[in-house]
Amino acid sequence: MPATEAATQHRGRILIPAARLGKGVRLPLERIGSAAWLMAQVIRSLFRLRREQFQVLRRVLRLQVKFTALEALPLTMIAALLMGGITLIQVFGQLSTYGAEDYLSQLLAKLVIRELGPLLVGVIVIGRSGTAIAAEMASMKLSGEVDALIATGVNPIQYLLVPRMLGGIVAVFSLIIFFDATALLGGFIVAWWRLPLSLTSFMDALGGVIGAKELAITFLKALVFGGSIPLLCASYGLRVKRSTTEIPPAVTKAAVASLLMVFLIGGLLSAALYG
Amino acid sequence: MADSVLVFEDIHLRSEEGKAIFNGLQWSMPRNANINLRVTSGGDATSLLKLAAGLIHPQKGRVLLDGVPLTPYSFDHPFLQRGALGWVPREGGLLVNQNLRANVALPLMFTKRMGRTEAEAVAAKALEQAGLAEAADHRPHALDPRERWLGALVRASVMEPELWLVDQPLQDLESTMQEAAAIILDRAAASPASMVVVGDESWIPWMSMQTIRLGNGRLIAEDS
Repeated sequence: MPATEAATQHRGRILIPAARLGKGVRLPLERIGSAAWLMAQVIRSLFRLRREQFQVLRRVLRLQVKFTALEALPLTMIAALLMGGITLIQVFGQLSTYGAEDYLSQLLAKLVIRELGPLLVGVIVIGRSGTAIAAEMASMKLSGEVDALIATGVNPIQYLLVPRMLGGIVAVFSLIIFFDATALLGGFIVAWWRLPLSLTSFMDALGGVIGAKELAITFLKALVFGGSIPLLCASYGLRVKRSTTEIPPAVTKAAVASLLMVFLIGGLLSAALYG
Repeated sequence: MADSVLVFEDIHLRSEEGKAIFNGLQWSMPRNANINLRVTSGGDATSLLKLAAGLIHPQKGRVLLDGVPLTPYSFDHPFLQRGALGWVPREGGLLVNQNLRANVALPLMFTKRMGRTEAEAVAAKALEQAGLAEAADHRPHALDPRERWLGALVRASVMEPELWLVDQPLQDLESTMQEAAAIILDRAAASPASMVVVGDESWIPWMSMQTIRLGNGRLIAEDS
């Protein structure tokens, strides 16, 4: 080893502790910065897609929607049915103490549509699709598929990330609609069993609560969650460098970061819109 | 420099482990040159090809492709965007969720704006000529590593690239595959394209190429 190279390495070793200073703050900020950069790149790439290229992406988009929405539908509906029923039992217990059972369906609708629906769909999408996207991207990176796309002129952001983001938005929006409807149905079944409540009066009460604002908020949350979960998970997957042993930690980190993002953004949006 | 398709300017590249791969590499590849790169002790041809394609970036120095520097995280290099690079990595780099024909057709559709039917017909014909007709409907995991490499060579050939970067296959090719690969490389060598082909196998049409040796991070022309 030449003398200058040895001296450089020695200097590097001395500076290692100094380089670690502030790592706890720097790393999360770096991650947020790189996620924001990726989001900006994807949106920029989306608007630069040519018509023929969009034809190619349609297939990837269709597969993404099928996997994220259609195949997740049974799980989502079972979870929603049980969640609606359980929530109603809890709410009924509290309201009946004060003789306020009349507000039952309104409270259920507000809870499900404003909070539970988007949040639980986000969790289901992270568990089923976000982790799959992270693992797929990591595997593609290690097998040289991403390199081959770049070298053959196929922009990987356009080919891999744009359809996943669009597919995520469509899938999360659809799943939230199905989740909300099924959870309300579950709530009605329990209410009908416990109370002298007719479907007409239940629907009337719902009609008073569900308006354009609720739909707009559902769409906003679907846009934010559906767009950012696939991108965040993909960014963790694409960070692997050399070995397949890096894939499981990358998938775990992707899931944790996405869950944190969903809870944080969900909370912030609710505080901003209803606070 | 103006007539160079590929220029390495004072390249310093270290591996993740900190091992020096190139230390001040200077090289410029004239347009229309056909180079047979032979690796000797301490040479890393794969890193050289990845540098040339902009897939890795040096810690110091720069790489110019068709006169334009390659920069990290930029996918809009004009040379790459027009599909002018013929990339043939050792492992093939085929998309695992698509069959071989779709893999060959993808850059034609995405980069050359060809319709799906036409692109798939071109891909099917090229695969048939390379003896891969039966493999066309299979996904990469169902193919032999040599078939994957040959598939990547076909994918590059249908794009009619201006610069070929061809790494060695992971395993020795069978005689029929050698013939098919030699025909494709021969045709490319006779075209106005430039090419870098790694390896010293007998089937490489090296007679029509200049031999350069890569060892210890340096490139040395055989005739110098």
